[in-house]
Amino acid sequence: MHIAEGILPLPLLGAGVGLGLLGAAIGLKRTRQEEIPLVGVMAAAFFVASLIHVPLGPASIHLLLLGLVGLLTGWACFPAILIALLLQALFFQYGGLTVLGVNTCIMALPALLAHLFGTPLIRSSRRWIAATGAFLAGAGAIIAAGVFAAIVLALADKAFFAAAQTILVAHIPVAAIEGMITVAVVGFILKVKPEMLASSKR
Amino acid sequence: MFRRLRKLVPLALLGLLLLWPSVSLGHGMNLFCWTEQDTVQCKSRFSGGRPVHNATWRVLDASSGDRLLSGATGSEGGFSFSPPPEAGDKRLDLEVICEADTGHRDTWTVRAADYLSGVSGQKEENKSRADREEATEGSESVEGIGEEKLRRIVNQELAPLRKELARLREPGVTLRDAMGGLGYILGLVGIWAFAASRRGSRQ
Repeated sequence: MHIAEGILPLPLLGAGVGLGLLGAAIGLKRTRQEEIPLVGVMAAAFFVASLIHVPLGPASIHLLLLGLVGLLTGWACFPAILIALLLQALFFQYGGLTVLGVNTCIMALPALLAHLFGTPLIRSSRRWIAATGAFLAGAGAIIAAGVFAAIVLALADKAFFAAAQTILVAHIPVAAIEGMITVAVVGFILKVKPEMLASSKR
Repeated sequence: MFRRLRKLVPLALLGLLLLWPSVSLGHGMNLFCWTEQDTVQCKSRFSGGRPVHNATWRVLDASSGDRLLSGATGSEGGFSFSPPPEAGDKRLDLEVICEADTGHRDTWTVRAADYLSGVSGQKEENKSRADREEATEGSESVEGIGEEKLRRIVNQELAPLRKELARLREPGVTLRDAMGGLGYILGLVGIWAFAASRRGSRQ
């Protein structure tokens, strides 16, 4: 999901930086002081998740935890993902510094959507609706990130359908696993500390 | 509901791991090249270890950026090419670029000295007369094996070593890097919390 350097044209890189910084600024402004440690923990979780490769048939996948980051941090997913991607670019050469803004948007926008659409469902008093909301937030965020990546590549004159097909097919198992992980984690949080989940106003 | 679902998670995960036949992408792509005789061999793979197939590759003159060769990777993520004669004549360093249609990309530079050392007779043109005499003397002393044949044998023997050296140059993720990143996040959160608390106390 990390787009590499040297692929996208300058206007697209500029737009990515602008949108990424705007999102990060809104996220920083909306975060209350007591929520800062949680944002840090989610940034760390996102940073480390992509290092853990899970063998999957003949291949291996890694988690992204986009839905979970969105549900727990709200708008603060932008600064959390921006910092984690910056460190991944510096330490592991994933993505790159010039594409940092674009990659932040590709991953933070789905996390934000998971927050905006998933949080009302999770707050439902009916357990099955909450579980479905958590699954859709986790799985949907991965699919949305794949679609956003394909759109960005299409804007850079790459074949949209080929890219979308490859990215989406590859990420269907990741989406399913992330959906289940999100259900498990959200279920646990709802039981022990429901106030941890980002409010829909944040 | 949640409790029941949580019990199903490990089972479902295991099922997916065993049954899903598709392949998946990593988040980074690595390309490495080495020379064998007069051919440059390249291998590309995602950071999870899976080969990158059907990616496009091209070879550029590293200094001017002119395209010299291009093609697509095979099912094992590998490809090979013989540097064009004009590249050898001008002793051009070659930049190999491999690009998957999913936005992954990596480059590798093959220095002229690397691929020319395997080209038969190529080096001879660039050698001084004294060097040539020395080499000829050496070849006579190896019981009739000519200089060219000796060079071929040495190159053949060195090929696996070159491949291993190239592979070692791939950027890998170490525990130290991961811990360093976590340390940075901790520090940044601390700075943010400190700034927020100062702002709060002022208000």
